[in-house]
Amino acid sequence: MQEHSDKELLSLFRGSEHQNYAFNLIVRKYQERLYWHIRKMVIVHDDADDLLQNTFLKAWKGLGNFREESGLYTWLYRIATNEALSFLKDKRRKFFLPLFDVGKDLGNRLEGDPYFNGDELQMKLQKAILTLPEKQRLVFNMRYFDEMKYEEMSEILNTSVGALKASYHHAANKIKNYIRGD
Amino acid sequence: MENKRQIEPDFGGKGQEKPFSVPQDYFETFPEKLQKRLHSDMAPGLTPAERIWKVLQPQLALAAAITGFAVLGYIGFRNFTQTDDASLSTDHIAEYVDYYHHEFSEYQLMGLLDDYDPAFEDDTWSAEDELYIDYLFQSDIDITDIISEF
Repeated sequence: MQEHSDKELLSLFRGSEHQNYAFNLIVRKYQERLYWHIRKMVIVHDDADDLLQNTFLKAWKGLGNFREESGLYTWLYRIATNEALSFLKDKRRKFFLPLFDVGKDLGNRLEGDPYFNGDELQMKLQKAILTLPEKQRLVFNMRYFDEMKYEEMSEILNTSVGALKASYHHAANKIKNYIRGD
Repeated sequence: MENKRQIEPDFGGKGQEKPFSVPQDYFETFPEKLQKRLHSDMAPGLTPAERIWKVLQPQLALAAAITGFAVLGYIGFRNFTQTDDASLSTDHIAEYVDYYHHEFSEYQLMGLLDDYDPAFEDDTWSAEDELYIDYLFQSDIDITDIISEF
């Protein structure tokens, strides 16, 4: 299937007759990338599925007012990021748990997750990532797994490139130490 | 373009591959599932006011329940701690005096006032009141005469 550019998709969406069709194309184009971004943050498939749906629902409601000041993908990525962070915040508030315990809880769920198919080392890496503060985890995932450029990350997270580099560096060091067993 | 080696720290030789999977056909069926949810969430017939009401309704119900419990608690507490502060009306006194007029004394009246008003004390009588009472006794004026005057 031919992949449309974001510009084409947006102009198709704005033509009132094809909104549903255009939106469906946007979903098909970005669902996988957004899903993996969310999944790496919330770990559990069912939670990631819910949050992905919420992300697209918000996109559907806001797309009419989208002014293209940023790229469509950047905008969607930002919504997905906010959804994941809000979900983790609510989870922490609901159970009155400090950050470490949410990470520990996610680590425990990872062990019983039928949709985790990594080996022992990958499990250890994921658990190490889960010990990081949420925003540092976000930065690490975007850089390490998605290989996103700092400039793009800066636009999505509204944080300076310097701060992101420092954050990634700290995160990588913490993970190395965790894996070495320090 | 940045060198991948610069991005990737050495985590035991493991690359950036994702160790997660999804249920079979998840991404093929997701757009359809999303469309269904879009239709149910954006179902026509709900005005903006109705949507706000739908959101606020459970919170208002909770607030009403809390207020109700607070009011019930307050009423219960008041009933438990409240003393009998019924006031003594002129009619009550007249009725009492009328009933006992044949053997009425000022001590009975004071006792009656004391029963109805815990704050009532004998020393609330002024010197002037004592003079009136003495005068009534000395003049041997019958209580029925006073009642008939009123």
